[in-house]
Amino acid sequence: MIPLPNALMFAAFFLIGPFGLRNRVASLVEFGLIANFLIVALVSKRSSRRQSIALLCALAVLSYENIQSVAAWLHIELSEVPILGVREALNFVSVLFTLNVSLAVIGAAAAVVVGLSLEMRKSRLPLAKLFPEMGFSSASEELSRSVRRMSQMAGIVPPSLSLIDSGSPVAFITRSRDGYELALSVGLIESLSEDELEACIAHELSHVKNNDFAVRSLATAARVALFSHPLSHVIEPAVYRAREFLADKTAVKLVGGKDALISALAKIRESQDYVSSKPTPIATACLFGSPRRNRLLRLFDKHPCLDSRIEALRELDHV
Amino acid sequence: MLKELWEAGSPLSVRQFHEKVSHNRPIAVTTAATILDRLHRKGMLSRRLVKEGGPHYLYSPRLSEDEFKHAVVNNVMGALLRGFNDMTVAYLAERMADKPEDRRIISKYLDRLKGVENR
Repeated sequence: MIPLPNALMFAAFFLIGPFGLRNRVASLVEFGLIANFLIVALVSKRSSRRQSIALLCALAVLSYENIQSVAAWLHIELSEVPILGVREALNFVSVLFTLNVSLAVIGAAAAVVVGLSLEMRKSRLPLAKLFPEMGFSSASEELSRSVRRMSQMAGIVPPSLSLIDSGSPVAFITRSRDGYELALSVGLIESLSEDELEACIAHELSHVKNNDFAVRSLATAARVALFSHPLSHVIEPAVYRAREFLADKTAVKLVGGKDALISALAKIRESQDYVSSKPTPIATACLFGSPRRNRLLRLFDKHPCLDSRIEALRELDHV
Repeated sequence: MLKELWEAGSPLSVRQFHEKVSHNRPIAVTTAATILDRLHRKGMLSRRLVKEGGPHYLYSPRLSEDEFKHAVVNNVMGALLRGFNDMTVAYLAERMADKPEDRRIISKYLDRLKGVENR
């Protein structure tokens, strides 16, 4: 994914910054790197893993550059204030910013830590607190057994299982203090066949198997570090979407075929089409997919639309 | 959709409801589940969670067919009479003057109205 020249450029970029050698060359390298990673992401349609890593790398370069620029900008602005006294005071502050390289590094690290901890805190809440509008209850032993069996197949620690009190087809997996929690709605269980339900569970378990929680946290942390850089609002959701496609592929491997997942997604898409009114809080929280929107708006969706997922699954030829 | 539930006479699961509905219009079970869920959230259906034999809901209408029709007429006519009182009454009188059966109904209600006025 990152051939040697790119890897060297990547390393050089991060080394140039701390030594205060940021100049046109550094900017060119940075531009080249971001463009390169974005191109890699665009051309790696068939490998969601590669795509998401390339996007994360682009985010890393962007966030590093962003923090450096802010520190440099503050330094110049503060030292050029003309009012006597204030200038001196600000110059004192600016002395701190002459250490902008170290500040930038600390800033980047702090942003990543804050971003990660916010994300972790949010995702480690119990289900009832995370989604207060939903009702949860314990699942039957039979269903829990099935989840345990599939988790063993995936080689992960089995998540605890909860039932969502909703008739709409919904499923998601989240982190809690005691591990992962898988939530399936009654509507999903009662309307899908056994194979289809298994494929949906496999998709959710694949998020754990593929370490998607860590990847998502990194993407979110990078977005936090980037403050308001417009590109971050496009790249972060793109990372999420790539991981969804990857979870589909992993699920296909887990259940040994793509038909059940395609059929489940097609059924869920049909119900989304039929009930076309404003999405409810539950539908918004549903991790199955975003309703179809225009191409531009889709850039900001953290979930690919179901049509694209079905299409990607149909194109899988090895199963 | 509600008609199927009234005709069944007892609570229906999503699959039973889907079986009945799909004779007339082919829809996925997930769609049937979503429709029933929406109707439940709108307060038109009540449901009970059954965990035996795999978790599923049993849906039943909150109102009987007559109660439902009465509520719909009440809603629609109430709104019309509030907004367009004269026009609504005139329209109804004109429409109902065509058929003898309708005329009988309207005169029955007019007599009742006269009785109220005379009291």
